[in-house]
Amino acid sequence: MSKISEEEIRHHLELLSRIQPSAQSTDRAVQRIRRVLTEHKQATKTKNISIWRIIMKSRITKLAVAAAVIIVVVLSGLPFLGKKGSGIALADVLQRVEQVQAFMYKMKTKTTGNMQPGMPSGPMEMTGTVLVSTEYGTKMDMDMNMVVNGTSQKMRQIMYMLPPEKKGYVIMPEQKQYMQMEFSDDLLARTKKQSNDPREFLRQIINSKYTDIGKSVIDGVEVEGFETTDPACLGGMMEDVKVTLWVDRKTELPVREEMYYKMNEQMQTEVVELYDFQWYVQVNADEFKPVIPQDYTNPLPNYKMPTMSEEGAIEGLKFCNQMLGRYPKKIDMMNLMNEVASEFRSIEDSNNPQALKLRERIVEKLGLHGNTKEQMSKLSQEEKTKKIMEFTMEFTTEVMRPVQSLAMFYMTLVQEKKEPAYYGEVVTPTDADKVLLRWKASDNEYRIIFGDLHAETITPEKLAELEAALPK
Amino acid sequence: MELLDRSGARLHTLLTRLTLREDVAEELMQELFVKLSDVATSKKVSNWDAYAYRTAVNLAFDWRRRNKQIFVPLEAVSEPASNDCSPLAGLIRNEAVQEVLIAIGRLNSTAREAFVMRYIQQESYESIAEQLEKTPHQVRALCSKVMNYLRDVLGQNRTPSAGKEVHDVEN
Repeated sequence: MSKISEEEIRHHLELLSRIQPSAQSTDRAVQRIRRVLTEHKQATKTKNISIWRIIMKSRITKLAVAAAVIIVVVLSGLPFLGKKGSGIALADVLQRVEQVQAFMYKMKTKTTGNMQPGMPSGPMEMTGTVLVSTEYGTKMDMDMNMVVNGTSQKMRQIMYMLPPEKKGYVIMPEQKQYMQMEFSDDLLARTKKQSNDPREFLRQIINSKYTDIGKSVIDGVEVEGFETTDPACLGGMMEDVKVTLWVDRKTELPVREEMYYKMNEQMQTEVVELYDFQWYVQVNADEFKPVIPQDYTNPLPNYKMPTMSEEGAIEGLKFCNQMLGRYPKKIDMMNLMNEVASEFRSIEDSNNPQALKLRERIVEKLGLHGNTKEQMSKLSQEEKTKKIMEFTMEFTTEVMRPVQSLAMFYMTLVQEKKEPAYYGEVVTPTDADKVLLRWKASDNEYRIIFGDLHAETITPEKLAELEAALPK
Repeated sequence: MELLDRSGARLHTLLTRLTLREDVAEELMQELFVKLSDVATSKKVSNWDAYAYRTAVNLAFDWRRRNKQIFVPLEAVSEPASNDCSPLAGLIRNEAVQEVLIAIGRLNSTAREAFVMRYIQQESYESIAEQLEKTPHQVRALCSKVMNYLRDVLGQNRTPSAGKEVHDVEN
C-alpha cells in the first residue's frame, strides 16, 4: 500500500466531489423508485402482510412454535449428552440403572423468561409421564401450560421416540394433528441417549465435579444426595447450573433428580424435576405404537429432523446469511434462535428480498392469495386455527430446520469437546480465506468452514496462522 | 415522493460518489426510498432531508463493507462513467481513492457524515451543523480530527482494515 499525504487526501476528496452521475442514470433511478414505491404501498395495503400479522400475533402460533422448538431440543437428546465417567459410588448407581430394561417417571419443567422474541413471555410449565424401554423406545405424554399475552394456554403432546424404526411421532390431540419425523443414523445415535433421561442425568453428574451432600428423606425413603454446579455437566453452555440427584440408599436407584440452569438472557431459568420413579416396570410393544385416529392429519408429511452434520451447518449458515444479510453473531441454540426470530418478527418491515420471498412462499403454500385478510375473516374459528397451525409447520420446516441444524451441530462439537470456535461477528461471506467455524477433527487436524462456506482440513499450525490474522 | 422530487438527484449523486458505481447507486436509491417509505409509517422524523442523507451514507458504506473488493474490475461495472470526461472510471481503478473511502467507512457515523458532507458534498459548516444539530465550530473540529486521522492512517504503511473497527474521532 502506498503512503498518502494530506495534500493527496484532499486531492482525492476533491476528485470524488466532482463526480456527477449521468442524467440518464439519475432519471432511471427516480423513475424506478416511483414505480417501486407505488407497488410497495399497494402490496403493503392489500396482500400478505395482513395474514402475516394475524398469524405472527396468534397465540396458537406462539404456542406451537414454542412447542416445536421444545420438541426438537427434547428429541435431539441435547444438551444432555455425555460419556461414562469414572466416579465410584455413582458409577455403581449408573451400572444398576443401565441394567433396568424399562422404567417410568414423572417430569416437571418450569421455564421463566422468553425463550425467544415473539414467544410466550410468561412462565411455561410442562408436566408429563415418561415411559422408557431399552427395547422399544420412549413415550412421553406431556401437558404444556404457557402464559401468552396474560392468558393461560394449554397444549397436550404425546411423543414417541422409536429407535428401532428410526422414527419419532408427536401427536397433538386438541389440534387433531400429528407429526412424523425420520431420524438420520447420526441423530438417532444421539437421540438414543434420550433427553431428560435419568441415565444421562447420572452420567453428566459423574462426568463433572460433584459432591456428596449427605443423607435425607424423600417420601419416607432414606436417600443420599449428590450435587454439582460444574457448568461442564451441561456441556458448558448453560449458566448458574445446579444439578442434584437423590439416590435410594437401599436400592441404589435414583429417587429424584433436579436440574436448574439459566439458558440465556431472555430465558431466565429452567427447572427440571424427575420424580416418582418406577423401576423394573413391565412393558409391551403395543404401548409404543403411536395411536393416531383416522381423522388426524399430518400437515408436514415430509418433515425431516435437522441434520447435525457439517453439511447441515453449512446449509444453516447459508440460510442465515440470506435472511440476515450476514452471518449470525453466535450459533448456540438460544442466541441463534433469538437472532433469526427477531428478523422474522420484523419481517413486515424488512426489505431483505430473501426474507420477503420466504414470507411469500409460506403464505402461498397456505393457499392464500389476494386479499388474505378477507379470506381469513370468512373462515370458521376451527379453519382459522388449522390455517395457523399449517403456517407454524411451514415455518418450522422452512426457517427452524436449517437454523436448528447449525445450532445442533455446534452443540455437539461443544459437548464432544472438539474445541469449536465461531467467528461470525468478524467474518463475512466475502472472506474466503478467513476462519468462520472450526473444530478439532483429529489430534493433528482441524476442520474449517471458511467465510465463503467452503470447508478444508488443516494443521494446527496453519489454524494458528489463520486465527492470528482474524480481525480483532 | 416529495422528498424524491426535492432531493432525489442530490442523494443519487451522493451514492454514486461513495460507491463509484452508477448501477449500485441506482440499487441503493431504491433501497433507500423503500426504507424511508417504511419509516414514514412508523416514526416521526423532524428533518427528512437529514434523515435521508444519513441513511444514504450508511447504505453506501454498508455496501462497501459487504463488497470488500477494493478494486472493481472495470468490465464488471455496467455503466462505469457518465461521460467520457467523468473521473469515475479512473477513480474506480485509483487505489488511493479507494483507500480513502475505506478509511472514511471505518469512522463512527457522525464523524463520517460530517466529513462526507464537508469534503465530498462540499457543504458549508453551517449547513452541516444544522443537519447534525451541532454548532459550526463543533463540525469544523470534527472534520479536522477526521482529516488528522486519515492522514495518520493513510500516511503510514498500514491498512485501515487492520485497525479498530470504529474510530471514535468525535471524542
